[in-house]
Amino acid sequence: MTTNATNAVFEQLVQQHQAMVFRTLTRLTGSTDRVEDLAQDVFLRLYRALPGFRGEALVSTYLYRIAVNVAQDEWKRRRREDRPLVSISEDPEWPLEERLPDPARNAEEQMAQREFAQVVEQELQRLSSVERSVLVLYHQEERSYEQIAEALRMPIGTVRTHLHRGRKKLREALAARQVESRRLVCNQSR
Amino acid sequence: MQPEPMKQAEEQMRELDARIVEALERAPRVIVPEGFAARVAARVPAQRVSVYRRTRIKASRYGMGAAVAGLIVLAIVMLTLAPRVQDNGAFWKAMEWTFCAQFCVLAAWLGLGRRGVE
Repeated sequence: MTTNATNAVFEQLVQQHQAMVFRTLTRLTGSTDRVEDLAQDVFLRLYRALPGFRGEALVSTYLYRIAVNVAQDEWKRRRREDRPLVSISEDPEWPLEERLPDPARNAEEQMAQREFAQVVEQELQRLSSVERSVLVLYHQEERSYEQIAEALRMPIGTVRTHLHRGRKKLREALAARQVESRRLVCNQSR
Repeated sequence: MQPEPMKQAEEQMRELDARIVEALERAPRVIVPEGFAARVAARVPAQRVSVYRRTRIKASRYGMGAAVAGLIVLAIVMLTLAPRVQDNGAFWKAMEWTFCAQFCVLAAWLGLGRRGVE
């Protein structure tokens, strides 16, 4: 195959999967900051890995694995540089209004939902990277246990454990926040 | 039968779970920059070719060095064997011809290889 033909095929592959890669990286890193650079890194790593790719797994599963690794590297880099994280819940490039496509709900409901989504996003970033990856792949990307196990190279039982543990941690953190906010409201009303 | 406050707490937990799942399932709306795929595809072959060229030139230079060293060694061996070939037997003659053939092959490979390195 000529270089131009290879280019065209690879470009098509990137086009097919770019939205998924951007979406996953945005959620996993908790920020839209540098997401384009990270996505480029994902596809370049895929290209380098393609000669050894024998089609045992779907390209998308392979891409999820690379995206998770790239997101983990990004977290390590941030920790090294001690950079404060701009959460997607506060990101001006991705306002929460854009994530609420349900126009039927009234303003109050939408506001409550927006606040809740913000809190979930913040708590998601506090989980371990494996728990966060499993939750994002399962709920956001709607991958099966088998696909997640293959993407993260871990047994299905471990995927289930991380999923259960991650959801439990989120639930507990959010319940604690709700109790705290109720206590504050009570104190203010007194 | 469960007491009323416990039932209520369970109900609240279930509701909280459902809201968490709903929030998790809502994917961020991403905007992929225009021409992203083309930019990535354009970066790829440049990297590939440069790596290939570097490796090839490096390998050729090592090969060249080894071939020149081999030619010198073969020349010395042939010169050392030359008096024996004149004096006696078929064995030394065969050895001399074998080394000679190797010398010629190496010299030819060196000559052709040089043209390819440019």
